[in-house]
Amino acid sequence: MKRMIEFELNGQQVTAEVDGGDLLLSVLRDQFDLYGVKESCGAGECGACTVIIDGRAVTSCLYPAMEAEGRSVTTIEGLAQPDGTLHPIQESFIEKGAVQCGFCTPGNVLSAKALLDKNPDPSEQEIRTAIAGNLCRCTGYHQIVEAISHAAGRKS
Amino acid sequence: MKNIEYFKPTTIDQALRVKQEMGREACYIAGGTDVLVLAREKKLDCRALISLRRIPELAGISLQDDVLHLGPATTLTDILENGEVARELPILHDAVQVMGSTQMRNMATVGGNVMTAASSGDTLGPLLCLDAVCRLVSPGGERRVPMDEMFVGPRTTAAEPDELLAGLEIPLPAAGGAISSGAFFKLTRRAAMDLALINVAVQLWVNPDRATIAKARLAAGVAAPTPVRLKQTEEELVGAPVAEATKEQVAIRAIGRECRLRDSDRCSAWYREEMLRVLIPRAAALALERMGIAV
Repeated sequence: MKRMIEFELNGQQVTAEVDGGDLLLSVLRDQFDLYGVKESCGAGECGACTVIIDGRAVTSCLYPAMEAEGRSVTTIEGLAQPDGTLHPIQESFIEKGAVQCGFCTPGNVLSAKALLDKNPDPSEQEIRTAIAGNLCRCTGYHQIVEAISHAAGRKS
Repeated sequence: MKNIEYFKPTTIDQALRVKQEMGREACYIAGGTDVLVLAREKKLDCRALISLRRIPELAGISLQDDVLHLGPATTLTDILENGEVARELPILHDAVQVMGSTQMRNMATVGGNVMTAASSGDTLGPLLCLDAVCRLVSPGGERRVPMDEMFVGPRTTAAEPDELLAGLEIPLPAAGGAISSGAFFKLTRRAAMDLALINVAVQLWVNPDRATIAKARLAAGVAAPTPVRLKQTEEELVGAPVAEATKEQVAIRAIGRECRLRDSDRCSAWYREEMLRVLIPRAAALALERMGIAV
Protein backbone atom coordinates (compact mmCIF):
# COMPACT_ATOMS: atom_id res chain seq x y z
CA MET A 1 0.00 0.00 0.00
CA LYS A 2 1.82 3.10 -1.20
CA ARG A 3 1.66 6.33 0.71
CA MET A 4 3.39 9.70 0.57
CA ILE A 5 5.75 10.43 3.42
CA GLU A 6 7.75 13.53 4.22
CA PHE A 7 11.11 13.57 5.94
CA GLU A 8 14.35 15.50 6.14
CA LEU A 9 17.09 14.15 3.93
CA ASN A 10 20.57 15.64 4.15
CA GLY A 11 19.12 18.89 5.45
CA GLN A 12 16.29 19.23 2.96
CA GLN A 13 12.59 18.43 3.33
CA VAL A 14 11.67 15.73 0.81
CA THR A 15 8.65 13.62 -0.02
CA ALA A 16 8.59 10.06 -1.27
CA GLU A 17 5.91 7.57 -2.23
CA VAL A 18 6.67 4.36 -0.37
CA ASP A 19 5.11 0.96 0.22
CA GLY A 20 4.77 -0.50 3.70
CA GLY A 21 7.26 -3.18 2.70
CA ASP A 22 9.88 -0.78 1.30
CA LEU A 23 13.16 -0.50 3.11
CA LEU A 24 14.77 2.88 3.56
CA LEU A 25 17.85 1.55 1.76
CA SER A 26 16.03 1.01 -1.52
CA VAL A 27 14.09 4.28 -1.29
CA LEU A 28 17.32 6.25 -0.80
CA ARG A 29 19.02 4.53 -3.72
CA ASP A 30 16.12 4.21 -6.16
CA GLN A 31 14.19 7.41 -5.56
CA PHE A 32 16.95 9.78 -4.50
CA ASP A 33 19.95 8.32 -6.36
CA LEU A 34 22.00 8.21 -3.18
CA TYR A 35 24.32 5.40 -4.20
CA GLY A 36 26.66 5.96 -1.26
CA VAL A 37 24.13 3.86 0.65
CA LYS A 38 25.39 0.36 -0.17
CA GLU A 39 23.54 -2.90 0.03
CA SER A 40 25.62 -5.88 0.97
CA CYS A 41 24.31 -8.44 3.50
CA GLY A 42 20.78 -7.06 3.69
CA ALA A 43 20.45 -8.38 7.22
CA GLY A 44 22.05 -5.68 9.35
CA GLU A 45 25.31 -7.52 9.78
CA CYS A 46 27.79 -5.62 7.60
CA GLY A 47 26.95 -1.94 8.10
CA ALA A 48 27.49 -0.93 4.44
CA CYS A 49 24.01 0.64 4.33
CA THR A 50 24.49 2.69 7.52
CA VAL A 51 22.73 6.05 7.66
CA ILE A 52 22.16 8.43 10.57
CA ILE A 53 18.58 8.93 11.72
CA ASP A 54 17.93 11.58 14.37
CA GLY A 55 21.55 11.38 15.44
CA ARG A 56 21.83 7.60 15.66
CA ALA A 57 23.50 5.23 13.21
CA VAL A 58 21.16 2.55 11.87
CA THR A 59 21.34 0.03 9.06
CA SER A 60 18.92 1.21 6.38
CA CYS A 61 18.46 -2.36 5.10
CA LEU A 62 16.47 -3.13 8.26
CA TYR A 63 14.69 0.19 8.50
CA PRO A 64 11.17 0.46 7.11
CA ALA A 65 10.97 3.49 4.82
CA MET A 66 7.65 4.41 6.46
CA GLU A 67 9.50 4.98 9.74
CA ALA A 68 11.55 7.78 8.20
CA GLU A 69 8.42 9.93 8.20
CA GLY A 70 9.06 13.10 10.16
CA ARG A 71 12.63 12.13 10.96
CA SER A 72 15.99 13.48 9.87
CA VAL A 73 18.09 11.18 7.68
CA THR A 74 21.76 11.76 6.85
CA THR A 75 23.62 9.80 4.19
CA ILE A 76 27.26 10.10 3.15
CA GLU A 77 26.16 12.52 0.42
CA GLY A 78 25.08 14.95 3.15
CA LEU A 79 28.49 15.32 4.78
CA ALA A 80 30.56 17.40 2.38
CA GLN A 81 29.87 21.11 1.89
CA PRO A 82 27.92 22.12 -1.25
CA ASP A 83 31.19 23.42 -2.74
CA GLY A 84 32.72 19.97 -2.37
CA THR A 85 34.79 20.64 0.73
CA LEU A 86 34.98 17.34 2.55
CA HIS A 87 33.91 16.78 6.14
CA PRO A 88 36.88 16.51 8.56
CA ILE A 89 36.13 12.81 9.07
CA GLN A 90 36.32 12.24 5.31
CA GLU A 91 39.60 14.18 5.16
CA SER A 92 41.01 12.04 7.95
CA PHE A 93 39.97 8.81 6.23
CA ILE A 94 41.91 9.87 3.13
CA GLU A 95 44.90 11.11 5.06
CA LYS A 96 45.21 7.96 7.18
CA GLY A 97 44.69 5.47 4.35
CA ALA A 98 41.38 4.28 5.79
CA VAL A 99 39.84 3.97 2.32
CA GLN A 100 40.86 1.03 0.18
CA CYS A 101 38.17 -0.58 -1.97
CA GLY A 102 35.73 1.97 -0.59
CA PHE A 103 32.62 -0.18 -0.26
CA CYS A 104 32.42 0.06 3.53
CA THR A 105 33.64 3.65 3.68
CA PRO A 106 30.30 5.51 3.71
CA GLY A 107 29.07 3.31 6.56
CA ASN A 108 32.24 3.65 8.55
CA VAL A 109 32.34 7.43 8.09
CA LEU A 110 28.70 7.74 9.20
CA SER A 111 29.22 5.49 12.23
CA ALA A 112 32.18 7.71 13.08
CA LYS A 113 30.11 10.86 12.65
CA ALA A 114 27.31 9.57 14.90
CA LEU A 115 29.96 8.74 17.51
CA LEU A 116 31.83 12.04 17.36
CA ASP A 117 28.66 14.13 17.37
CA LYS A 118 27.78 12.51 20.69
CA ASN A 119 31.23 11.93 22.10
CA PRO A 120 33.83 14.33 20.67
CA ASP A 121 36.73 12.72 22.51
CA PRO A 122 36.24 8.93 22.34
CA SER A 123 38.72 6.35 23.60
CA GLU A 124 40.08 3.78 21.18
CA GLN A 125 37.70 1.23 22.68
CA GLU A 126 34.73 3.53 22.16
CA ILE A 127 35.76 4.01 18.53
CA ARG A 128 36.07 0.27 18.02
CA THR A 129 32.66 -0.29 19.61
CA ALA A 130 31.09 2.36 17.39
CA ILE A 131 32.34 0.71 14.19
CA ALA A 132 31.92 -2.90 15.33
CA GLY A 133 28.90 -3.16 13.05
CA ASN A 134 30.82 -2.04 9.96
CA LEU A 135 32.72 -4.80 8.24
CA CYS A 136 35.85 -3.89 6.28
CA ARG A 137 37.66 -6.57 4.30
CA CYS A 138 40.61 -4.39 3.27
CA THR A 139 42.09 -2.23 5.99
CA GLY A 140 42.17 -4.50 9.01
CA TYR A 141 40.44 -1.59 10.80
CA HIS A 142 43.62 -0.08 12.17
CA GLN A 143 43.63 2.82 9.73
CA ILE A 144 39.91 3.43 10.26
CA VAL A 145 40.36 3.67 14.02
CA GLU A 146 43.32 5.97 13.47
CA ALA A 147 41.35 8.16 11.07
CA ILE A 148 38.46 8.55 13.51
CA SER A 149 40.80 9.34 16.36
CA HIS A 150 42.58 11.88 14.17
CA ALA A 151 39.28 13.47 13.13
CA ALA A 152 38.28 13.78 16.80
CA GLY A 153 41.50 15.63 17.57
CA ARG A 154 41.03 17.86 14.59
CA LYS A 155 37.50 18.84 15.54
CA SER A 156 38.19 19.59 19.18
CA MET B 1 7.89 -7.46 0.62
CA LYS B 2 5.45 -5.50 -1.51
CA ASN B 3 1.90 -4.25 -1.13
CA ILE B 4 2.22 -4.15 2.60
CA GLU B 5 0.06 -1.88 4.69
CA TYR B 6 2.00 -0.06 7.38
CA PHE B 7 0.22 1.17 10.48
CA LYS B 8 1.74 3.62 12.92
CA PRO B 9 -0.55 3.67 15.94
CA THR B 10 0.23 6.12 18.72
CA THR B 11 -1.60 4.30 21.52
CA ILE B 12 -1.76 0.67 22.65
CA ASP B 13 -5.54 0.68 22.06
CA GLN B 14 -5.09 1.70 18.43
CA ALA B 15 -2.49 -1.03 17.93
CA LEU B 16 -4.78 -3.67 19.46
CA ARG B 17 -7.69 -2.53 17.29
CA VAL B 18 -5.70 -2.85 14.06
CA LYS B 19 -4.49 -6.28 15.12
CA GLN B 20 -8.03 -7.33 15.98
CA GLU B 21 -9.32 -6.23 12.57
CA MET B 22 -6.52 -7.83 10.58
CA GLY B 23 -5.85 -10.93 12.68
CA ARG B 24 -3.00 -13.10 11.53
CA GLU B 25 -2.50 -10.99 8.42
CA ALA B 26 -0.88 -8.29 10.54
CA CYS B 27 2.43 -8.56 12.38
CA TYR B 28 3.74 -6.25 15.04
CA ILE B 29 7.10 -4.67 14.31
CA ALA B 30 9.22 -2.84 16.88
CA GLY B 31 12.92 -2.43 16.05
CA GLY B 32 12.56 -4.66 13.00
CA THR B 33 15.90 -6.40 13.43
CA ASP B 34 14.21 -9.81 13.68
CA VAL B 35 10.96 -9.20 11.77
CA LEU B 36 12.59 -7.75 8.66
CA VAL B 37 15.26 -10.44 8.54
CA LEU B 38 12.46 -13.04 8.60
CA ALA B 39 10.57 -11.12 5.92
CA ARG B 40 13.63 -11.06 3.72
CA GLU B 41 13.99 -14.81 4.10
CA LYS B 42 10.31 -15.09 3.15
CA LYS B 43 9.54 -16.68 6.49
CA LEU B 44 7.04 -14.02 7.42
CA ASP B 45 3.58 -14.21 5.95
CA CYS B 46 1.74 -10.97 6.52
CA ARG B 47 -0.11 -8.25 4.64
CA ALA B 48 0.35 -5.54 7.18
CA LEU B 49 2.90 -4.35 9.70
CA ILE B 50 1.85 -2.61 12.90
CA SER B 51 4.68 -0.41 14.10
CA LEU B 52 5.24 -0.14 17.84
CA ARG B 53 7.77 2.66 17.48
CA ARG B 54 5.50 5.62 18.04
CA ILE B 55 3.56 4.53 21.09
CA PRO B 56 4.91 6.58 24.02
CA GLU B 57 3.39 4.21 26.64
CA LEU B 58 5.49 1.35 25.25
CA ALA B 59 8.89 3.02 25.56
CA GLY B 60 11.03 4.36 28.35
CA ILE B 61 12.40 3.36 31.71
CA SER B 62 11.00 4.51 35.03
CA LEU B 63 11.38 3.54 38.65
CA GLN B 64 8.36 3.33 40.96
CA ASP B 65 8.22 1.77 44.43
CA ASP B 66 11.34 -0.35 43.89
CA VAL B 67 10.04 -1.69 40.58
CA LEU B 68 11.76 -0.77 37.33
CA HIS B 69 9.21 -0.36 34.56
CA LEU B 70 10.87 -1.16 31.29
CA GLY B 71 8.90 -0.28 28.17
CA PRO B 72 9.15 -3.17 25.70
CA ALA B 73 9.80 -0.78 22.81
CA THR B 74 12.81 0.71 24.60
CA THR B 75 15.86 0.31 22.38
CA LEU B 76 18.90 -1.54 23.61
CA THR B 77 20.89 1.72 23.31
CA ASP B 78 18.48 3.47 25.67
CA ILE B 79 18.84 0.61 28.16
CA LEU B 80 22.62 0.64 27.82
CA GLU B 81 22.74 4.38 28.51
CA ASN B 82 20.36 4.25 31.47
CA GLY B 83 22.09 4.93 34.77
CA GLU B 84 19.55 3.07 36.91
CA VAL B 85 19.94 -0.10 34.84
CA ALA B 86 23.73 0.14 35.04
CA ARG B 87 23.62 0.65 38.81
CA GLU B 88 20.75 -1.60 39.88
CA LEU B 89 20.71 -4.25 37.17
CA PRO B 90 24.30 -4.87 36.04
CA ILE B 91 23.21 -8.33 34.84
CA LEU B 92 21.00 -6.68 32.19
CA HIS B 93 23.52 -3.95 31.42
CA ASP B 94 26.17 -6.63 30.76
CA ALA B 95 23.87 -8.38 28.30
CA VAL B 96 22.80 -5.31 26.34
CA GLN B 97 26.40 -4.18 26.03
CA VAL B 98 27.36 -7.26 24.01
CA MET B 99 24.30 -7.46 21.77
CA GLY B 100 24.61 -6.80 18.05
CA SER B 101 26.37 -3.62 17.03
CA THR B 102 25.77 0.06 17.65
CA GLN B 103 23.37 0.17 14.69
CA MET B 104 21.47 -2.89 15.95
CA ARG B 105 21.25 -1.52 19.49
CA ASN B 106 19.90 1.74 18.08
CA MET B 107 16.97 -0.16 16.54
CA ALA B 108 16.44 -3.43 18.42
CA THR B 109 14.16 -3.43 21.46
CA VAL B 110 14.04 -5.49 24.63
CA GLY B 111 10.41 -6.43 23.96
CA GLY B 112 11.41 -7.71 20.54
CA ASN B 113 14.05 -9.88 22.16
CA VAL B 114 11.44 -11.32 24.54
CA MET B 115 8.77 -11.93 21.89
CA THR B 116 11.22 -13.46 19.39
CA ALA B 117 11.98 -15.84 22.27
CA ALA B 118 15.11 -17.33 20.72
CA SER B 119 17.04 -19.51 23.11
CA SER B 120 20.04 -17.28 22.38
CA GLY B 121 18.24 -14.02 23.25
CA ASP B 122 20.72 -12.25 25.48
CA THR B 123 18.27 -10.24 27.59
CA LEU B 124 16.23 -13.33 28.44
CA GLY B 125 18.55 -14.93 30.99
CA PRO B 126 18.91 -11.64 32.87
CA LEU B 127 15.14 -11.04 32.81
CA LEU B 128 14.57 -14.59 34.09
CA CYS B 129 17.09 -14.09 36.89
CA LEU B 130 15.49 -10.78 37.83
CA ASP B 131 12.03 -12.38 38.17
CA ALA B 132 10.68 -9.91 35.63
CA VAL B 133 6.96 -9.90 34.90
CA CYS B 134 5.42 -9.43 31.44
CA ARG B 135 2.26 -7.35 31.12
CA LEU B 136 0.28 -8.77 28.21
CA VAL B 137 -2.69 -6.77 26.96
CA SER B 138 -5.44 -7.76 24.56
CA PRO B 139 -8.87 -6.38 23.71
CA GLY B 140 -10.12 -8.64 26.52
CA GLY B 141 -7.96 -7.04 29.20
CA GLU B 142 -4.60 -7.50 30.78
CA ARG B 143 -2.73 -10.35 32.43
CA ARG B 144 0.62 -10.61 34.08
CA VAL B 145 2.89 -13.49 33.20
CA PRO B 146 6.12 -14.19 35.10
CA MET B 147 9.09 -14.35 32.73
CA ASP B 148 9.62 -17.89 33.93
CA GLU B 149 6.33 -18.90 32.27
CA MET B 150 6.87 -16.97 29.03
CA PHE B 151 9.13 -19.29 27.07
CA VAL B 152 7.01 -22.31 26.27
CA GLY B 153 8.94 -23.64 23.27
CA PRO B 154 11.52 -22.74 20.65
CA ARG B 155 10.72 -19.19 19.54
CA THR B 156 7.33 -19.53 21.20
CA THR B 157 5.94 -17.48 24.07
CA ALA B 158 2.91 -17.85 26.28
CA ALA B 159 1.36 -14.78 24.62
CA GLU B 160 -1.82 -15.41 22.64
CA PRO B 161 -1.95 -14.08 19.06
CA ASP B 162 -4.14 -11.15 20.13
CA GLU B 163 -1.89 -10.20 23.04
CA LEU B 164 0.67 -7.44 22.97
CA LEU B 165 3.60 -7.16 25.36
CA ALA B 166 2.84 -3.82 26.98
CA GLY B 167 5.29 -3.71 29.85
CA LEU B 168 8.14 -5.39 31.67
CA GLU B 169 8.30 -5.00 35.42
CA ILE B 170 11.52 -5.73 37.23
CA PRO B 171 11.56 -5.71 41.04
CA LEU B 172 14.85 -4.14 42.10
CA PRO B 173 17.04 -6.92 43.54
CA ALA B 174 18.44 -4.63 46.22
CA ALA B 175 15.03 -3.39 47.38
CA GLY B 176 14.53 -3.19 51.14
CA GLY B 177 18.25 -3.23 51.84
CA ALA B 178 18.84 -6.68 50.33
CA ILE B 179 22.40 -7.40 49.24
CA SER B 180 22.36 -8.55 45.66
CA SER B 181 24.15 -8.33 42.35
CA GLY B 182 24.41 -10.22 39.13
CA ALA B 183 26.49 -10.78 36.03
CA PHE B 184 26.08 -12.02 32.49
CA PHE B 185 28.54 -13.66 30.13
CA LYS B 186 28.14 -14.53 26.50
CA LEU B 187 30.42 -16.73 24.45
CA THR B 188 30.76 -15.75 20.80
CA ARG B 189 33.24 -16.32 18.02
CA ARG B 190 33.62 -12.59 17.45
CA ALA B 191 33.07 -9.74 19.83
CA ALA B 192 30.26 -7.97 17.95
CA MET B 193 27.30 -8.96 15.80
CA ASP B 194 27.29 -12.57 16.84
CA LEU B 195 24.71 -14.83 18.39
CA ALA B 196 25.65 -16.52 21.62
CA LEU B 197 27.18 -19.98 21.39
CA ILE B 198 26.01 -20.05 24.96
CA ASN B 199 25.17 -17.36 27.48
CA VAL B 200 24.95 -17.38 31.24
CA ALA B 201 23.21 -15.10 33.73
CA VAL B 202 23.60 -15.27 37.50
CA GLN B 203 21.94 -13.09 40.15
CA LEU B 204 22.80 -13.76 43.81
CA TRP B 205 21.36 -12.43 47.03
CA VAL B 206 23.46 -12.88 50.16
CA ASN B 207 22.49 -12.86 53.82
CA PRO B 208 23.53 -9.96 56.07
CA ASP B 209 26.45 -12.16 57.24
CA ARG B 210 27.76 -11.72 53.66
CA ALA B 211 28.98 -15.32 53.93
CA THR B 212 25.93 -17.36 52.88
CA ILE B 213 23.53 -17.24 49.96
CA ALA B 214 19.97 -16.08 50.63
CA LYS B 215 18.61 -16.59 47.13
CA ALA B 216 20.07 -17.49 43.74
CA ARG B 217 18.97 -17.22 40.15
CA LEU B 218 20.88 -18.96 37.37
CA ALA B 219 19.89 -19.02 33.72
CA ALA B 220 21.48 -20.23 30.52
CA GLY B 221 20.81 -19.57 26.84
CA VAL B 222 21.35 -22.00 23.94
CA ALA B 223 21.58 -24.67 26.62
CA ALA B 224 18.10 -26.01 25.80
CA PRO B 225 15.36 -25.28 23.22
CA THR B 226 14.32 -22.27 25.30
CA PRO B 227 16.23 -20.08 27.74
CA VAL B 228 16.30 -22.07 30.99
CA ARG B 229 16.56 -21.36 34.66
CA LEU B 230 18.64 -23.86 36.62
CA LYS B 231 16.08 -24.12 39.40
CA GLN B 232 17.29 -27.20 41.20
CA THR B 233 20.71 -25.63 41.57
CA GLU B 234 19.18 -22.31 42.65
CA GLU B 235 17.40 -24.11 45.49
CA GLU B 236 20.46 -26.04 46.57
CA LEU B 237 22.48 -22.86 46.81
CA VAL B 238 20.14 -21.28 49.37
CA GLY B 239 21.94 -21.25 52.70
CA ALA B 240 25.22 -22.45 51.19
CA PRO B 241 28.49 -20.57 51.68
CA VAL B 242 28.90 -17.93 48.94
CA ALA B 243 31.88 -19.73 47.43
CA GLU B 244 29.64 -22.66 46.57
CA ALA B 245 28.14 -20.70 43.65
CA THR B 246 31.57 -20.37 42.06
CA LYS B 247 32.46 -24.07 42.15
CA GLU B 248 32.90 -25.90 38.88
CA GLN B 249 31.41 -29.00 40.48
CA VAL B 250 28.13 -27.15 41.06
CA ALA B 251 28.10 -26.02 37.42
CA ILE B 252 28.81 -29.54 36.16
CA ARG B 253 25.91 -30.92 38.19
CA ALA B 254 23.59 -28.17 36.98
CA ILE B 255 24.49 -28.74 33.33
CA GLY B 256 23.95 -32.48 33.59
CA ARG B 257 20.56 -32.19 35.26
CA GLU B 258 19.04 -28.99 33.91
CA CYS B 259 20.43 -28.30 30.44
CA ARG B 260 19.72 -30.04 27.18
CA LEU B 261 22.78 -29.20 25.14
CA ARG B 262 22.92 -30.09 21.49
CA ASP B 263 25.23 -29.94 18.53
CA SER B 264 24.44 -27.27 15.98
CA ASP B 265 26.11 -25.78 12.92
CA ARG B 266 27.63 -23.15 15.12
CA CYS B 267 28.97 -25.16 18.02
CA SER B 268 29.13 -28.68 19.44
CA ALA B 269 27.31 -29.76 22.58
CA TRP B 270 30.66 -30.85 24.01
CA TYR B 271 32.11 -27.35 23.64
CA ARG B 272 28.96 -25.74 25.02
CA GLU B 273 29.27 -27.91 28.11
CA GLU B 274 32.96 -27.15 28.56
CA MET B 275 32.28 -23.43 28.35
CA LEU B 276 29.25 -23.48 30.65
CA ARG B 277 31.51 -25.08 33.27
CA VAL B 278 33.73 -22.04 33.00
CA LEU B 279 31.16 -19.30 32.62
CA ILE B 280 28.65 -20.23 35.34
CA PRO B 281 31.33 -20.01 38.08
CA ARG B 282 32.78 -16.90 36.46
CA ALA B 283 29.41 -15.11 36.41
CA ALA B 284 28.80 -16.08 40.04
CA ALA B 285 32.24 -14.80 41.02
CA LEU B 286 31.65 -11.48 39.26
CA ALA B 287 28.24 -11.11 40.91
CA LEU B 288 29.90 -11.60 44.31
CA GLU B 289 32.74 -9.28 43.41
CA ARG B 290 30.18 -6.60 42.58
CA MET B 291 28.84 -6.95 46.11
CA GLY B 292 32.38 -6.52 47.42
CA ILE B 293 32.66 -10.18 48.36
CA ALA B 294 35.90 -11.89 47.43
CA VAL B 295 35.95 -15.66 46.97
